[in-house]
Amino acid sequence: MVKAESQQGSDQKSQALISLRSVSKSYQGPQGLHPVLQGLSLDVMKGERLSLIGPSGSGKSTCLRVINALETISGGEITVCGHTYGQSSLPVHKIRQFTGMVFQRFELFPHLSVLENVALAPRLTKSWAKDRAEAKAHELLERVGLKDHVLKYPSQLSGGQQQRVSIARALAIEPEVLLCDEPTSALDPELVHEVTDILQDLADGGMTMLIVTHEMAFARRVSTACLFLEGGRIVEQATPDEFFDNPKHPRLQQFLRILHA
Amino acid sequence: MYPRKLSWIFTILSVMVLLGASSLLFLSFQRLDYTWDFAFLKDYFWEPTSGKPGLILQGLWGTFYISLLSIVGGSVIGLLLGLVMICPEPLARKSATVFVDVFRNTPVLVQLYVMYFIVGTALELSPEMAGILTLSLFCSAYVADIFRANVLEFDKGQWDAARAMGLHQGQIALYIMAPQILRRMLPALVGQFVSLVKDSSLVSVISVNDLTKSALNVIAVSFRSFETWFVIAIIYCLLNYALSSYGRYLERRLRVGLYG
Repeated sequence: MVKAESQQGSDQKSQALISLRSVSKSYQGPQGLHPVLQGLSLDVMKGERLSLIGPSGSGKSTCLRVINALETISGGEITVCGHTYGQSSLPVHKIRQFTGMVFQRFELFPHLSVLENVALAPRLTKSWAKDRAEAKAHELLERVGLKDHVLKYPSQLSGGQQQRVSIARALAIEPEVLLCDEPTSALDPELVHEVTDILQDLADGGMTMLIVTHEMAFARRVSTACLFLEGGRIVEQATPDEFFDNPKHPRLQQFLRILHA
Repeated sequence: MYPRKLSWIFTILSVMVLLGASSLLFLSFQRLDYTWDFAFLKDYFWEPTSGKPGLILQGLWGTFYISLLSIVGGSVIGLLLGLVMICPEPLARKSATVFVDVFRNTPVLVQLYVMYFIVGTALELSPEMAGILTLSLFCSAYVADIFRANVLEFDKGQWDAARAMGLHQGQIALYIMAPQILRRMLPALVGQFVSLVKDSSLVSVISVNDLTKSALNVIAVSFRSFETWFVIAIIYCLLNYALSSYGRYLERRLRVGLYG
């Protein structure tokens, strides 16, 4: 039953791995309801890499978090790999398994070793045997250049290394889409490239990605399209070159001017 | 780093405190004008005639098993109670909070009397049973509160990370939250358990044969209360020292990864 429905679902939405339709969300703030997302619509096609750019409070992170159902929405519809939250017969935690997420503050599990951090999700969500999950973890950790650190604990690693572990951890469930929420914002400037290099590698390998970032050079390099968010809406969407060299919206022009100043 | 200029002041202060304390002890022994004799206690550790453990060892066993059962019982009830305290159902939550408040805000001695003379009489509980039950409930109130506080402090980012990788709630609780929360609870728990071993001396008032009750019996026969209490204090101290050392050992071992 589930399989049939998923087949039908993915046919309907063609290749869009993630699609947001008029999504809105408000927080209960001190001055009443504060809107964060206002009728946001967005499609992420297979192989696409979208960068979400915007001033703080524009709803970038919230946009990522609602895709993973880490936040509830007050209106609209979110579909991930053919499964719409609230309508699919799959439980929410199963739908989350289509996406992997990298957090600003890494959020590695401090009580588990690097290897266990990466192997945990496949063991629990895919019911893989320990050996198989650890083999996969070794492979991923080698890919992010940390094969000599597998037995260490997160607190024994630098920020850049921790973020690389968390990328490996996100990839361990073999997600269709990688969501990156400001993956370099908590890093010392000289460590940023460690992480952006890995993400660039993944992008070159054809990974579908949705990235919230303040690293403009990285966004320009890695993305197939850049989106500018302002007040919970997408106000501009363009190819990276167009986005940075020839911005249309006055708010984006102002934003880029301040960045370059 | 600032140079630690004032360290000699602390050295002098500690020497003064040590000197003061020992001279106070020495003076009180002098002024008591009492001939100390610890030798007789030997027979109360091990009875020479029957070749069996004496009153004091029997009492130590009593204190040991009553404390142990109360700690186990208190932990189990406390964890369940703590879960109820954080559950969304308001009536259950409120009831658990009232329970915890009652047991934390009344003296254990009074709880013991109520349990033994009222509940114990009604249900025909033995003194040991009443003692263990009271101490378990008393301990559970503290365990529940320690648990509740640590769960509420749990890092939301960890919870998000676990949800984002597609774990369901049971898996998050078992693999992510429980190991971290139990480690953070450990220091407070050990402190609570040490204090429970000390509080267990109160069961002597409902004539349970624990260490304190043995001491009273020894004194009743030998009339040597100074030596007896002195030795009993040392035994309690050793017992709790062992417990807290084990706690510190566990803490050190489990710390790997949590704080670096």
